[in-house]
Amino acid sequence: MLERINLFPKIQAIWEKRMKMRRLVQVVSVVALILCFTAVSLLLSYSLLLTREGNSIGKKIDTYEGKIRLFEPIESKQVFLKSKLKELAKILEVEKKPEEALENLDALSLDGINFSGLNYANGKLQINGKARNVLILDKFVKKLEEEGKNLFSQADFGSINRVADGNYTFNLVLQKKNNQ
Amino acid sequence: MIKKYRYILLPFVSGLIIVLVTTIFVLPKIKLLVDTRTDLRNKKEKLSRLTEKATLLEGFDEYELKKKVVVAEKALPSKKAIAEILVTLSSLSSQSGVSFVSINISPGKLIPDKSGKLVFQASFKGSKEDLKAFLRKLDEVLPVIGFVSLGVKGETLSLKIESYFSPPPESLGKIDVPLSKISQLEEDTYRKIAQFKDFEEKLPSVPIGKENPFSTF
Repeated sequence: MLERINLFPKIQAIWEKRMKMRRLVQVVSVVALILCFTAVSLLLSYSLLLTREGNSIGKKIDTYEGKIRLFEPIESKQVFLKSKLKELAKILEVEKKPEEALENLDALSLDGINFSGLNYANGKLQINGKARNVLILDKFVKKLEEEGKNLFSQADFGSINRVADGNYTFNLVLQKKNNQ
Repeated sequence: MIKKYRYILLPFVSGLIIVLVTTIFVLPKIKLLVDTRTDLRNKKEKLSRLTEKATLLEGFDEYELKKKVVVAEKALPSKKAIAEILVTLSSLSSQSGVSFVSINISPGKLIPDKSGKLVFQASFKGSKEDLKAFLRKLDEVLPVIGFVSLGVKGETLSLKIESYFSPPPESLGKIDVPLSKISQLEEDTYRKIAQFKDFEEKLPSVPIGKENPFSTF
């Protein structure tokens, strides 16, 4: 039996190692190439999937847009109604109730007091009146102090004048309370 | 020479192919995919908005909506409602037993391009109770009227009032814009104005035009 004689064991070991390395590099290269192409094909498939989904959604969007266009008359009415009601809500938010000005005047009326004129704007009531004598005027002021405080936040006499016939004319400014 | 370096040929070519494919194809494709995904997400959101809008629109009762629009237009006209206000004041005053003495209006531009107010100055004569009733009713008429000031001297009531107008919106906006819903406050407002008295049906229809425009009435 003939045995093989290895004369350069170290060189052979290096050579074998180098061969292994070469093979490994080649295998790695091939694997890397395969991975690269797999990644490319995955990307392509995913892109195709997204495109198909996009197209499908695009078609649905077109369908719904067509549907909404058919409802345009209803939509325009709704938009119109919304804009009107929005403004009306703002307008009606401020309740003015002008008849309250006259009712307030009633609340203050007293025998011997004659109101000759009234002006009402922005919750401010300006009253011109006449009192028969100073006692009635005093009674009126007391009434204003007692009952008026429920209705008005402020009461100012602009002027009180005694006129030739012995009557007293006055000018009164009342500010209504905010909650009224 | 080639034989000597044959073993590095495959890794070199593979590396080259990988680098080339990555730079020329993979990276741009990834960027494109990111953009496509964003686009798709936007499309999905748009579709959901459109679906919701279409469902809402399908659910509307057109007759009811039309009725509401008519009431809202009467309450807040698109143009300056001079005739309507005159008819309202005149009808209401005669209904309340108050005489309509005078009115002063400066309408200006008749077809407005934006919302605004038209101020009227009017005077009425009547007893205090009648005037009070008149004022109470005036607060609840169509078109909606606002009070600026009020003056009473003897039996004469001077009023400074304002009527409002608001031209309709010019466009509906984009198709995928959500449908403007009526809020609770606006719904309450509608319920309120629906109760208001409308004198418009009393507005007489007059023949338009005449043979000689310079002839007297």
